[in-house]
Amino acid sequence: MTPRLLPLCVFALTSLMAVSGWADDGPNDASVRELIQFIFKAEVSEGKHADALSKLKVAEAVCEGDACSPEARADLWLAIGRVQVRLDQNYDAEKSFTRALRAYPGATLPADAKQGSRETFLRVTQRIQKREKQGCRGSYDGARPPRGWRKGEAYHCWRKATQARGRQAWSKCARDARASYDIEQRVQTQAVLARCLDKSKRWGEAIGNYDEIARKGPRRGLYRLSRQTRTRSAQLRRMMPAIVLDVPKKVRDLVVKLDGATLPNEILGQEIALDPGSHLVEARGLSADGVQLSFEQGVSLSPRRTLNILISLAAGPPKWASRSELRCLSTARTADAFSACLGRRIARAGDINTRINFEVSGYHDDMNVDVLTPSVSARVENVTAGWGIGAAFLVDVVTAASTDIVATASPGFREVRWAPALNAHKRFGDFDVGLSGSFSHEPDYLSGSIGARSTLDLRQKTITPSLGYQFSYDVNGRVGTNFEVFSHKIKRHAVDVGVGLVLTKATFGQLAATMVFEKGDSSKPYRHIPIFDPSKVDQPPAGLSIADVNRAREPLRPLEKLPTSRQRYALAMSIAHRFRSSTIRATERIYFDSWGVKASTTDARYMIDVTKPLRLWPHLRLHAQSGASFYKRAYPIAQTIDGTQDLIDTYRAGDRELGPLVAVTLGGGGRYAFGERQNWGVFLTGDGVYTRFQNHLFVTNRWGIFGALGLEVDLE
Amino acid sequence: MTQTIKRLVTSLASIGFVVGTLSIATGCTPVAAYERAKLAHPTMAANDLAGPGEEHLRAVTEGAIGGSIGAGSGCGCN
Repeated sequence: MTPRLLPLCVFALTSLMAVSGWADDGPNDASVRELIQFIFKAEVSEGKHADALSKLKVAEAVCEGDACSPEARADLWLAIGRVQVRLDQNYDAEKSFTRALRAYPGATLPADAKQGSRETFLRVTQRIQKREKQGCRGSYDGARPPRGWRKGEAYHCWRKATQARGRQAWSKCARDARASYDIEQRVQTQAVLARCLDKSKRWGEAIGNYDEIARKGPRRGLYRLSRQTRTRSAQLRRMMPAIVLDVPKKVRDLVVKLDGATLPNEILGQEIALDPGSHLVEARGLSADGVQLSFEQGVSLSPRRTLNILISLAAGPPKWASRSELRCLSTARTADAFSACLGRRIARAGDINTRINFEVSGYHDDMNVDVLTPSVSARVENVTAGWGIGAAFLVDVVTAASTDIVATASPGFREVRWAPALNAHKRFGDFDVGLSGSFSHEPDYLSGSIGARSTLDLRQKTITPSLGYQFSYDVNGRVGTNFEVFSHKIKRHAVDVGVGLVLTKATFGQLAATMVFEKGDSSKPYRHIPIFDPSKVDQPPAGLSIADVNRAREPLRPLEKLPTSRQRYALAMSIAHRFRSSTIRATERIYFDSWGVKASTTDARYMIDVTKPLRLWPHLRLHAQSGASFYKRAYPIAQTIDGTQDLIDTYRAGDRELGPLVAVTLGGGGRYAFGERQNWGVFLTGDGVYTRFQNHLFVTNRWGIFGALGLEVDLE
Repeated sequence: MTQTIKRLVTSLASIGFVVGTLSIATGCTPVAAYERAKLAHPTMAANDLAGPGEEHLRAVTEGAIGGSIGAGSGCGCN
């Protein structure tokens, strides 16, 4: 070991191992090849073969797991073999070259390899090729066949096939059985061949052999075998999967390949029966203006399944797979091998996804109401295990001094509200259940809620019904007064029923119904309702000033009094449709409650992917509602006949949002993604809100603006 | 309380019937997993697009609630 080079090699190896753990994209191919070159230059060229061999074997750790492609692995073992040849370790060198060729059959020695390495490599290559070509025939020792057999070699291969069948090595069984049948055509051998093809999911070939046995069997007196093979052939035909390739119309020079074989155009669009397992569909063509288009997709077929594959060609080479993955997919023939090819990508993506979101929003209107709302939320999801947890924290800083608040309550106030929330969910197969809890604290209002929600995936997740329940317990108090001295308790039961529907490949719909049952007094202890004597003041007009109201009102100042129970119902329908590079989302909600409020709300956003990282959208929202049955602009007073008592309405509301109103929101927003994987996003939204109060004493309309600035990140 | 439960059960049954009928009647297209690229786009997520600030604003300035996935705790904001 050379002292001055040892730290360098250890550092290089350690760095490579550390980097490979962080590498998101691609294997360590380039790093391994650089290391091989470095070792050959530093050690092998100076004749330090033993040092070079020990370092190359340590370098195998760089390719652990999925860190290297088969080619890179093969290059490493070829390098090890070359050094072993120089050390006269020919047996070990042949083993290393064999490992290299098994990892990557196309492996070759570099141009500067020595003659000794070339001879050893050639020997290994020829031996492997001979074994693969001859199979059982390569191991036949010339023994005589037993009675009933004409050729000893056929009997030898038949024995090898039945031994492999006993070990459930179906591919080897099929190979040796075919070799035996090629030498001597025996029905029993063909039955073994058909059975092993059947078990190794090569159903197309199996059906052909079964049919032939069914035809030949009766002539040889094998009626039972003939019947069995005819039955099995029919079963396989029923279970045989198929694909239908939907080809685009406006593509020139279209060439479609299936598992590397070019398909004639006349069978495109028809059902193509295929063996179950993994297959690769490739297509090439030219667009109308001559742009090269390509398509590649791997599919895994299950028995009895017919898949429609839309060949949607795109410009340029496929982006989703590296060359090594493409080569892996094209040679994969079983579901496990297919998954192993994709497993590299899945393993790199990671199982845990974390999303963190920061947002600061603000609201201001011409009625001197200002709200600032910073919030933070985080969510951790384990996609494979099917669980997730989330937490959020929000603060509201409200400054309110609108005319009606000043006139009916206290002078303008400033208040801080904070609200933490937690949620978690777990998936059990197609069933998902979630729990949530939240709390809200203001100086005069406390609210706590807990809830549960469940969803069920039906019909391959095209229908997803959901059911949720939430219980809330609110304490409505008064600023400056202990809750134990004065408070009203409000209990609320809320039920959400909904269903998500996959309507088409690009359209998703949702129906949701909400029912809320409230019990408790939600009247504001600050709102004193102006009372008017109708004999003195005819119905006061809307939009009066505080001074005008004070001149006309009666001295009596009753507090707001709302009903102590309320049932609220909402039915909403949402739809989202994805176009080529934009999405439209619209929601319509119908609302009604036991207080007589009826409302319709329509919300729409049209999100446009201007560039890959930049998305912009306009936003429109329309809300119209009627007032509560007991809502009045001005509440009258009356006296009893004897004049001893003033009569006023049992229920009196000062909340302008309980009256009839129309609100229009117009705005938009944008989001910009950045970062190496574009996993960071900054967004900005802005909305202008105009509200027309149809029947309110102090205010007739309101102009407000809302804006939000946020930052979010997805971590894997 | 009994009346509340009765109303709740009746409402649930009615809505469940409507939703179930609509689900079956729509005849949703079977969409294979590899054909859901557009459905998996971030803008197609089923969650509400409004952030917490906007949600709170709507709850206060509009007299209607509901129609979306669950809500947090209330506030005495009106």
